[in-house]
Amino acid sequence: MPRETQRHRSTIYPFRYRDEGLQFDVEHYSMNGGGVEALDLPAGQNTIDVDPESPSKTSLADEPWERVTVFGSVEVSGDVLDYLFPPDEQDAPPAKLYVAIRCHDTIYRDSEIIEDPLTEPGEYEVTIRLDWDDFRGRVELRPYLVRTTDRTGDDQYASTRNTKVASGDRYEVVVDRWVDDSPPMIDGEEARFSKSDHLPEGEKLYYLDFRDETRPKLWINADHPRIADVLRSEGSVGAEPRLRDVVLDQISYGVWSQLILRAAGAITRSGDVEYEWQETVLEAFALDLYDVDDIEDAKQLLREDVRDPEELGHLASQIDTELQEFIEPRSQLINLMEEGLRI
Amino acid sequence: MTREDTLKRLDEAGRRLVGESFLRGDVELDPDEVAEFVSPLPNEPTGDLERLDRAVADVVSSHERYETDMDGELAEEVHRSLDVTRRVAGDPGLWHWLAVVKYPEFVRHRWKFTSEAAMREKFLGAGSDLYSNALHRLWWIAELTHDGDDYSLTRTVFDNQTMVNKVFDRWFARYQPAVVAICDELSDEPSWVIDETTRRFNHALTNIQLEGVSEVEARELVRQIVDDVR
Repeated sequence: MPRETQRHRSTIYPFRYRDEGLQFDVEHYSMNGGGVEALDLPAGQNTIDVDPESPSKTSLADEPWERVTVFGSVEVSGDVLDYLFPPDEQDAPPAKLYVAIRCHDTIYRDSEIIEDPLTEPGEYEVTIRLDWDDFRGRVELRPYLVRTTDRTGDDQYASTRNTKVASGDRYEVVVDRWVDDSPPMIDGEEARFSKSDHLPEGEKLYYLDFRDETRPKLWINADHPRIADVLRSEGSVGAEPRLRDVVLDQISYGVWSQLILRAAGAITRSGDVEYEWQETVLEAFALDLYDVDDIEDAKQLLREDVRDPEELGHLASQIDTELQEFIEPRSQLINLMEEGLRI
Repeated sequence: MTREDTLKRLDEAGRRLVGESFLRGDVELDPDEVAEFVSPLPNEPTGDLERLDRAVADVVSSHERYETDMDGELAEEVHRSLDVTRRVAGDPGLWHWLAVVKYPEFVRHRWKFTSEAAMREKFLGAGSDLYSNALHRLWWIAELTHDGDDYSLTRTVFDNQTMVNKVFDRWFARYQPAVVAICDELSDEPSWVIDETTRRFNHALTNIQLEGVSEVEARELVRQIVDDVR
């Protein structure tokens, strides 16, 4: 599918909807009411790191802060409004524009109204203030355009108040990471692969990035907004969370397979590995792959098998068996099927 | 004037102390061993723990084991006693400390041991899962349903366990205007109406963007669904 076509495609909603109909850009920020600074995000990345303890040293803040304000814009084109609203409403579409603010870790859902009513196309300024006391972890910012009135009409246009008719790219503000607890073994982040030269081309769902061997990074392709939305769904009840768990299982299987093989290949003759993640992977899987009691013995067997072309097929089969036990994909599949049958 | 006791957290390593025999109530934790894994929260938020101690003791002594109305009795006191922000309440370590170290007798008095996994959730759940840790759920549901000093809706919610189950296990329950509208509008409805209405409300959110919905609009939507359901 040509990229331009994909950008403007509608989704599965039973009414006209533009998933990327709003051009959302965050370009500046300020800390504690101080001076406004420019953001300099790499192409395709929408993560704003304001964690003073950032292990990657990429944070915009070098000390604790009380509030951060981000500044940007949302552009709503005339074409989009004309597409989303019927001809008799196009002179003054019944719409409002806002940015949803969500934080999983502090059970936070709110919005910053940008324009209500929004009656004409244009570029609208966005100012969002985030107070330290309200957030931890990651804060999601995403613009939405919604209808503000009900209407009748058996046509293809949305008809119910507060129905979302367009949305835009999502930004993520990293407020902090768990300081006292162990950090996750690998980082995860969304990016649009189509806009990032360092990520693979095509329709990939994810990519496990080993450019920094000390800390692998999992990229989720935000070029697939429907899937990315499902992966961001919260809670444990309903079709989307059930579907999320199945998709995560699928990704986990591929990720663990790679991590095990990479860690196995890194075992030295003395049984050591260089990085912490490799040790963690081996501690989790090595003993289960072999019928031995000593993890050092298991590591040596794994080291030999991964280097032996004749044993590699058997090892792949063994890893497959262990991952099916470890991930238990059947459980989440059954949950999803039961959810589907109930609907 | 409330007392200001420093609140603490049980760290990740301390969770390993919680085994099946502890969950069953067969053994208590060694205070010296636990102390190694307990530390003040960042920025040292405070609470009136004497007040909370008293409230927990009163609830335990005045209720038979596993009575669900302990929740409504205690939620307001938990919320008032802990002077914490959302950021602090988002730290699972706080709730693990309260459940495992401070009030394990309350957790066991309120929740019957049916399985290790279920009881582990009551001691070591928390985070974004509103319906898990025995203390965390009380604070958060009070946080989402109180109106200043008025905790009447909090009590209404806990008077109806179907409401607790069907509303607070869903993602829309993180949006306060929707929580208030749903809990208030459904407070007098039978369980089957609550069950079906919350399911349909959740389904409606496939198209409706929740953060743009006012409390008044949420009430209208709930009333429409209830009319259809009945």
